Amino acid sequence: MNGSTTTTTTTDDLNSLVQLLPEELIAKVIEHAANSNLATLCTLRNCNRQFRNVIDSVLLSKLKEVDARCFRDRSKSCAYSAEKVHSLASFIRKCVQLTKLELTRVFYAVDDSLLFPIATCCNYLKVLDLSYCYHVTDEGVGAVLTLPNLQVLTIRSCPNITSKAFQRCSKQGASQSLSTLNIEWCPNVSYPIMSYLIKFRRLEYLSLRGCESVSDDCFRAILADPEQKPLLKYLDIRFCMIGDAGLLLIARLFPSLDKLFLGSKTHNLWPCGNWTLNGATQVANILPHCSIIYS
Amino acid sequence: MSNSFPRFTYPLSFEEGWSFIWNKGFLPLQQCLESGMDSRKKYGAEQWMAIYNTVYTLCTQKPPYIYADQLYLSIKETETQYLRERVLPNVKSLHDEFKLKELIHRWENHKVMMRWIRKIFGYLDRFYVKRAQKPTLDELSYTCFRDNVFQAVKSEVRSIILSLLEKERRGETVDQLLIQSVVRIFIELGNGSLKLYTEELETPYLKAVAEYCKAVSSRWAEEDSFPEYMLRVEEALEDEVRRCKTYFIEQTEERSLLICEAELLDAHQHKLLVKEQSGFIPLLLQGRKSDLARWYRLFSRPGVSKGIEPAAEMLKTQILQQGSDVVKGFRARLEQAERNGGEGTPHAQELIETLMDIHEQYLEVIVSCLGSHARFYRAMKEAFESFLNQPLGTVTCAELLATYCDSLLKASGEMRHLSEDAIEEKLERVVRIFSYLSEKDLFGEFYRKQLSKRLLFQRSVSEDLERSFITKLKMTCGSQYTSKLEGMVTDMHLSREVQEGFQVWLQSKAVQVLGNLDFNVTVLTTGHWPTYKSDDIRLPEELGRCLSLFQEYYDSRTSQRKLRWVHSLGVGTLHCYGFPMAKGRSFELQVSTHQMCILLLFNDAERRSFRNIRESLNIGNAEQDIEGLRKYLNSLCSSKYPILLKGTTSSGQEEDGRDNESYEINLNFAPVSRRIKIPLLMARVNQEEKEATRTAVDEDRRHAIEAAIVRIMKSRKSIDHQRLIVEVSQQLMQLFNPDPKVIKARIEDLISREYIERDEQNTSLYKYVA
Amino acid sequence: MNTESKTVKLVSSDNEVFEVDTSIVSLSETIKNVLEDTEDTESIPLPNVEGRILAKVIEYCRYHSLLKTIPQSEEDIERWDREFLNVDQPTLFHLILAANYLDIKSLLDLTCKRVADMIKGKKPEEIRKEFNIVNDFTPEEEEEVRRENAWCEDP
Repeated sequence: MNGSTTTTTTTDDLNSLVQLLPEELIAKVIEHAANSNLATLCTLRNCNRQFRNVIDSVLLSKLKEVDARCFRDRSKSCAYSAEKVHSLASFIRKCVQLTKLELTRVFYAVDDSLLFPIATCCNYLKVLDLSYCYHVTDEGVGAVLTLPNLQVLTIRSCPNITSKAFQRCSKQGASQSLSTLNIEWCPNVSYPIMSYLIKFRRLEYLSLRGCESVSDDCFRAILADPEQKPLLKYLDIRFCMIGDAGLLLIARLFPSLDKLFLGSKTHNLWPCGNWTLNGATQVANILPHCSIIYS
Repeated sequence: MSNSFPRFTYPLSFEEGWSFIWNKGFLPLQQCLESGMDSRKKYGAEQWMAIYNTVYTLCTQKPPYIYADQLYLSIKETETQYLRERVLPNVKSLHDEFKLKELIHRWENHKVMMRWIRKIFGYLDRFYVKRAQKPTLDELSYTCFRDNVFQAVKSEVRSIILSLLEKERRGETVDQLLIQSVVRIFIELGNGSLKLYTEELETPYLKAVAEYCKAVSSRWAEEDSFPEYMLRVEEALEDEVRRCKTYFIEQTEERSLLICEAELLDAHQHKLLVKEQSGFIPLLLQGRKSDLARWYRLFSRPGVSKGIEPAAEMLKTQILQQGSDVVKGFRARLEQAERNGGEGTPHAQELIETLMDIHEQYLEVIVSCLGSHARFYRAMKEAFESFLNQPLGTVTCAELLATYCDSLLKASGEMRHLSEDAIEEKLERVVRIFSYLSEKDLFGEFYRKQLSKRLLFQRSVSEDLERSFITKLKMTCGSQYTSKLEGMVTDMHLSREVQEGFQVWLQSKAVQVLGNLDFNVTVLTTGHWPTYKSDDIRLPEELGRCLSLFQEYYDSRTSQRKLRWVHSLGVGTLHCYGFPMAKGRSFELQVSTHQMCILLLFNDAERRSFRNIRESLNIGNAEQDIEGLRKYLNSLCSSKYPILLKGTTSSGQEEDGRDNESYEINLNFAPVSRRIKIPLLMARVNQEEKEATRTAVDEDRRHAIEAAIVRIMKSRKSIDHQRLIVEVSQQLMQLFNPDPKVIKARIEDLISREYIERDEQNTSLYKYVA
Repeated sequence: MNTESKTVKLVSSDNEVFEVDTSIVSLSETIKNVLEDTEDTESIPLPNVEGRILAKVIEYCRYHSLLKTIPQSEEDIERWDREFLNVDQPTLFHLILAANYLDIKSLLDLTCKRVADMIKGKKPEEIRKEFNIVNDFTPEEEEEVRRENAWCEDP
């Protein structure tokens, strides 16, 4: 701005943003500026009292979608600390209307102690992305699975996660809203996983890509389960230890399958299981409408 | 700036602001509402802007001087107060139509106020209402009126409306506009939701409708005939539609009609249908078309839960009874005739035409009165299937129907006087009846026999009709069913071509090889036609030459086919000379090939012994061969056309009576005309032939069942007994109803032939042996 | 309504008078409401809007109501809007206020976004400096805010 605006205090006062605009308009400006980014809102809170009040009283409780990414260079700030988790938690607790929350970019401030308040406060949450949040454990994920409206959960590359994360929920009557679950590259997810997941009635989309402990036995275990299986449409089992027997089991268990992803040995370095083209052909015969994608 | 514009000092206190808004805004507005003056005339732009400005200021001052909350509350209070103190007492004090009028007036006023508030206090809607999650100003106004006025008067208002509607139902004139306007309040007060309207007005109204219908319908059902009752109901329904369209919304019309239909139609359905003089069956029998059509219109409505089902059952029973009576009567006469040795055997035509008439009669009713509803077609189908497939003693309906077809299509048949169109029409009806036959294969076999005769002896009325009927059968039963019949007609057609080709071929030989013989051959494909015996009768030399020439020609045309001569079907025409009684003129004899061969023998000798004839013709000595030859000889010695005379020879060799017989040409034979046809003295389709057809059909069925079993086993690999029976029956239903016992026998047979085997553990499980 | 191709006089707080077509200023909900709720209105006082700001607002309304009859490309409109907002901060803020007072939704959004763009990506001190905002936090409050923002602050 040009120098003249800083010379006389009286006109400055009358013409300054905070002096001139009523609260609702300041809120409108800040809303535009933050554009759903929680970190920006935090920075703006630092400006003065009015900004802080407007943000806390008007904006946070209205937010529907939040991507908690920091816009500055993260390299220095990526160290995990309990204090960061605590501060983020106190923010998110205020966002009671949230429907979508992406925490990937603040993985350093996410652990179970953040997930517990989310599980109790954000009752409208539909989409939660916890990819790369490697501090979270089964307990925290088990807690968010109790959210009544959760539809999409992504827990990609969270090495602490095991099948137990889904055990508690499946025992207490699993979420009836969850339709999409992504557990890619969680190497410790193992044998009983499918026994828990079939309790999620609405599950349509499941990715187990790179869960190297997932084998034919996972699916064999639920064959005898009298429970009605979810109508799975999309299943990704690339880089799982699946053989032809497993493929046949899948075809019989999930007749509604539209898309099935298989890891192809020819262009991948990861182990792809010991399924053969023969097995895949049999699946194609049983499920003629299902497209099998090799990649 | 004009003087009316206030200059407030900052900060403006709420009290000062509100008192300005009250004095300059609400007060004049309420005066307008009370006096009926247009509020727009009351406010100039300046005053309007002054109030807006005050509202804006109260909302946008810096904290702690933001008064949006108080403003919102005060608006609510002002509205509430006005409604309670000025509006409600006025509405309450009045009665009947006057109450309704006042309510409408007050509601219109309130809408004016609501619109005014929405505009002038709009700033609250934009920010405060959203942030504080309060009802919008409109919602607030609706709620105020609902809670403070409407709740207090609604039940009385409702009963006034209902009593006005009741009056109108009785024929009195009511103020329609008034009712419409009050009903609209119930809708508008819901502010987009129909809950209030549905609960407070619609449901009570529907209850009243149900009570009314219940009351009138039981009286009508008691007093009126069925047609009268239906007329009244139709009128009542139309009346209800009119009422709903006038006062209510679409949803109410639908629901109200459902209730009317349930009370007026469903509740009395049974009682009405079985009314002795005017019930469903009497209407049907009396052909009361418009009443039946009205019945269908009414009872196919969605509110009649039992729908047309009971009547469809009655229709079925009625047709079944009528049809069974006809069939039983026919059977009785048939048995009577059998006891009398065939005297007075009733003709197939009578039965079939009577049944077809019944069918047409009800079909007409279903199409023109009963909406062509599939349920009635099913009722008719079930009835016809039931009596058509009853056993008729020695014959079956399948056979009679085939015979009837023959009589239609035969040139010499009983119906030769009919035009082609009339025949076509009758054949159309035949196919409708045919579709109910369960033994379609039996019909097919009889039909084929008769068709073959019509074709071979050129007795068919028209080839077009034959083809058209076969096409009809094909549409009902599929092409497999008619492939043989089509083959037969095609054979006749091809034969004409072959014959023409033969003539051309002969001319190309440029020899008069045939002499003055006219020679025709019909080539039939084995399999399409019934099986005919072929024999080795020695033909006259000229004829033998013709045959071998034709053989030569035919082999030149095709190499894959073998010709087998069926002389028993052949005919010939002989020109006869030298009979004195013919007065020097020649005459023609039309005879069968066998008769011709016999007669030609007499060109060489005037008298021949039986044995001589038999040996000359190379006929064997077996019983049936001799019997056959005798039949031909007898036909030539008949009293009507005695061309040969039978006598005994004096040869004295008495070893065999027949060999003693001798035949002599009757030179005294006097031809009655230039052309004489010597009949073969053969019975028509005799009992034996019928038996043969039956046997052939049974044989075909065995094959069909086996084929079905093998087909099923091949695809299933293993299947249990019960399922197999069911699936076989399903596959063959088109042709006939297979007897489970026969299927079982076929299964046993296939097991013994090692096509299938029993499971070792489970004996009711069969496995396919590849 | 008698708003078709009639003119109305708008009177600013400093008594400047603008005679404009009613169809143009009906972009403002407030003016539309006045015209609907009063009869034979010739002039409307707008005591919350200065003349120079009202002139800008009318310029905006004129261009945007013209778009209804002569459509322009998205880029042209954007360019015009950008050019239109090329003003000093006080004018911009007063435009926001006027848009709010007159209830012109598109202008309010446009001006608020413009201010938001000026805020984006700046640190609190920069924002304070840019908009001449006084830091009124006590040291304790500042410490509290810092703690609350730990997850997104530099260490």
